Amino acid sequence: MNDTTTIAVRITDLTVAYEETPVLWDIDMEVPGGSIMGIVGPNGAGKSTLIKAIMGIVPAAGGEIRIFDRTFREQRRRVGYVPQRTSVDWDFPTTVLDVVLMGTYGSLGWFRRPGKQQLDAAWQAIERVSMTEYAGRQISELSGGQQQRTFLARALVQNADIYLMDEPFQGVDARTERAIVQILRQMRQQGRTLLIVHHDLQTVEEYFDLVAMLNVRIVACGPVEAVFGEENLRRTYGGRVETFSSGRIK
Amino acid sequence: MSLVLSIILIAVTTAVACSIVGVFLVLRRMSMVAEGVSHSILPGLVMALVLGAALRTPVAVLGPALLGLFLVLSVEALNRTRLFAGDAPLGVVFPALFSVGVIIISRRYASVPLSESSVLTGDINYAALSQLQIGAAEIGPRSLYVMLVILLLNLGFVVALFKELKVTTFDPGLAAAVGIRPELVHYPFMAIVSITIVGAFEAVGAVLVIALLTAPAAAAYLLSRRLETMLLLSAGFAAFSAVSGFWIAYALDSATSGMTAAIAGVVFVLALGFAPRRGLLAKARIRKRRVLAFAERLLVMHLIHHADGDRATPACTPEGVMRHINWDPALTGSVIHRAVANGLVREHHGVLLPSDQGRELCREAMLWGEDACECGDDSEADVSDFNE
Amino acid sequence: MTPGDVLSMLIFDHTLRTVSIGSGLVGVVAGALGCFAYLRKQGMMGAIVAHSSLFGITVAFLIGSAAGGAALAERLILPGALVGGTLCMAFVSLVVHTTRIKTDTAMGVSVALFFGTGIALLRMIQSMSLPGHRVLRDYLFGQAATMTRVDLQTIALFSGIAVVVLLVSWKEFKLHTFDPGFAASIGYPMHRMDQVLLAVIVLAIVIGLRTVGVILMVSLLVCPAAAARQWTKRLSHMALLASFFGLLSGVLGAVLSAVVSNLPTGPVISLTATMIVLISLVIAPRRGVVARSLQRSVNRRRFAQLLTAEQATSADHRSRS
Repeated sequence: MNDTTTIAVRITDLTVAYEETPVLWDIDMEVPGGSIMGIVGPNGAGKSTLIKAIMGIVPAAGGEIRIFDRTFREQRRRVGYVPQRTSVDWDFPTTVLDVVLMGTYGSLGWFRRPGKQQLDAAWQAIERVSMTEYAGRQISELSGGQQQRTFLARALVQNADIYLMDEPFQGVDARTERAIVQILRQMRQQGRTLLIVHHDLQTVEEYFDLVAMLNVRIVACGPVEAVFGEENLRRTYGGRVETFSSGRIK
Repeated sequence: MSLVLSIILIAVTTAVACSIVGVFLVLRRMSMVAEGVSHSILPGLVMALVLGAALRTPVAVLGPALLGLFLVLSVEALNRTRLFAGDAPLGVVFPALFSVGVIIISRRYASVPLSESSVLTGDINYAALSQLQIGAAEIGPRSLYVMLVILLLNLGFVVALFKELKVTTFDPGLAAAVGIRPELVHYPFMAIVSITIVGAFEAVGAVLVIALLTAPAAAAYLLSRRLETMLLLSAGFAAFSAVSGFWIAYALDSATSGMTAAIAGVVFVLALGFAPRRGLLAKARIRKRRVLAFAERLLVMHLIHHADGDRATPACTPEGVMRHINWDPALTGSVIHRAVANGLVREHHGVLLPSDQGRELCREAMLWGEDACECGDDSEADVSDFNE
Repeated sequence: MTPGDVLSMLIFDHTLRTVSIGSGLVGVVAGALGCFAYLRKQGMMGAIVAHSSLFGITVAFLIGSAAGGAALAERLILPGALVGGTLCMAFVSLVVHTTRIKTDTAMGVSVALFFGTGIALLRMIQSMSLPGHRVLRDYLFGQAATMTRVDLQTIALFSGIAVVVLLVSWKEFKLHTFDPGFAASIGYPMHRMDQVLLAVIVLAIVIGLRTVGVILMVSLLVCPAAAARQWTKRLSHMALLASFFGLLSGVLGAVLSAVVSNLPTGPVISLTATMIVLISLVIAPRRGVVARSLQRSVNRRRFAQLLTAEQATSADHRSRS
């Protein structure tokens, strides 16, 4: 990496609307390569929508998104995704190994089935999230933390340069949360860029290099120590953050 | 009473009775349970006929209706096992019950006076022929009286429990909070639904009844903001479908029940297309207006955003707007034209600048975080609308 | 009649062979694709699509009769059903996406519109006594016994298409059904996937109408999948098992109804399929009722042992102190 840090994700003037009701208004932000950025904001602020808009899953009403200075379509293989855990049916008849293998589908194309190479990659990822002994389990038999680890392993298999993660700590026990953070830091060390929707304001300073504070518009975006302060929090969350100093934030 | 009049009266009573409970089925999202019930009562009806009760006694209605309740309970029990996904329990249970009925009929045991086709379409002509006798006098078709009793039962139920039905339908949480237990409304309601379906069997059969239960109520839903209006409209649509269904079927030598259902479906399609606020046409009109209003605000937002600093000039020309917001030239042109005409934007040496009015508009919009534009009242009433 | 007689009839009786091959094929395809309908929680949608296809069936028959007589009319029935079923899907999705009306109600209205019209047209066709109209009755409750070579050919062709699409797009269908968001992120076109998957499910339903009928086809779509789900934790095994259950119900039902006179096939197949679900519900390993109550009693015993051990130690402590 050179000194003029490359920009992994550049968003200019992004507006997203559902039925002409803006969910994201004129978003400008840049995610430097090799960093971990958190996206925080109240419910309905458009955090998940922002991630989905980056991947073109929800259409933009206006604006532009560049991934390493190209369109998302051109760079699809370089982007990995961890959806919200609650967005899938965990009673689906499939095993941990099978879910992790799904991470290889993007590079396989339509007709090819996963082979030895893909299996090896899947096992490696499963080992990295310490799920080896659960690999054959049906996913309905997993705890919340194990489900999240499974999703993380699937993302690892994607071997992408940029990862978009939607609340990867949701419904996770403290031990798993630490383990996941550890893995995320390793990923950053390998030069990957992580953009993470996050809920728990108390851990923002510990987990992220940069933070984007979002409430339909970008309230602030930059290094955590520079922008993550009381004033910006008040502007992001309105009157709902009264007790920041004392801890719990609703 | 003439035969034609008898048939029409039976058809109208049946349709109206169905349309009233149908309103609550639609609002409670239980249409498919009713579909299951309508199939499940068949073996009960067949048994009643075999035993010779032939709809002469209340038992002949209540017996099969119990089977409908049995379906509701068994589907709920299967759902509780959490072994099946989605609506699978319904899809497993009701065809089996229905099959038992069809097999008995097809084997013609004990000479059941019921054919497979009357299961599908009912046999309203036959129903109109069998007269109720008091002493020596024939006082009209028996089915008509059965259906009138059921209609009164439905009306009585809805009037008596209107408040409870309403609150458990729209806000089960509130219902529990004010001490109305939802299940105390749910099971009696399903019993009423079952009885209505059994009563409607003679006129429309077991499969078409779902049409009378849902289509008028759904059309009424698109046209009303109040529960009372919805009930009245639903009944009106049902009566209209029955009368016109009969005459069209009569003219074309077709089945009254099928034609009634088809008319009810067409009434719904008309409501879907032309309802004043929620119809497709109205929505398309509103949407077109909203798209431009939204684009205009997006433009002003963009200009405010870029008005100051070194990014200003290139981003605030028409070309810049086009490039930044990704609009095509035609749209860009018409939006800029509109914004200038409305005084939200002014042009200064080829550079677009937000006017004070524009800034004010966007500040207002921003304060509320979302749509505050004057788009007319098209906030679709969701069910909570009915609470007023 | 002994089972041996039935077996020899299956092998040597031409009609019975046609009937069982046809119904078996129907069961296999419905079983496999039913898994997707089941996992997408669209079982009842299958029921409604089957009902609604009567509209397509009758319209196609009328067009065929007008254009070329009974033979053409009969050939057009299944393609017509396909159009009718697809229309129903499109109607429901239009209503749900443009209004606040919920899916279940939209499905009910679709019965009014399509099945109602179908019944009205059917009665008109019967009143007009159009040549060959008797075959339409077989589409109501299904009648495998009167299945012809032409029917079998159509069924085979449609089944082939459905199976090929399923095999080619297996992993895509699986991922899209399990995690549509992730699938979209790696470039699966979400709406196109939905449309293709629904189209194949409609195809599977339509194939079965001749043997199972518009009223009861839902059984063959939902039951094998619901039963298979109890036995396995992998989608591929589930689909294979569901196909087998479908085959079993199809062949058993068809043979029974062909051997016993005047027995419509649909109800027999439907009952067979339901029996398979109930049996699976009781005896399936891990998820079955028996397995679960065994597990529960084991747990209870273990808990009781723990408790007594605990009490023993605490009693021990108390006696010591």
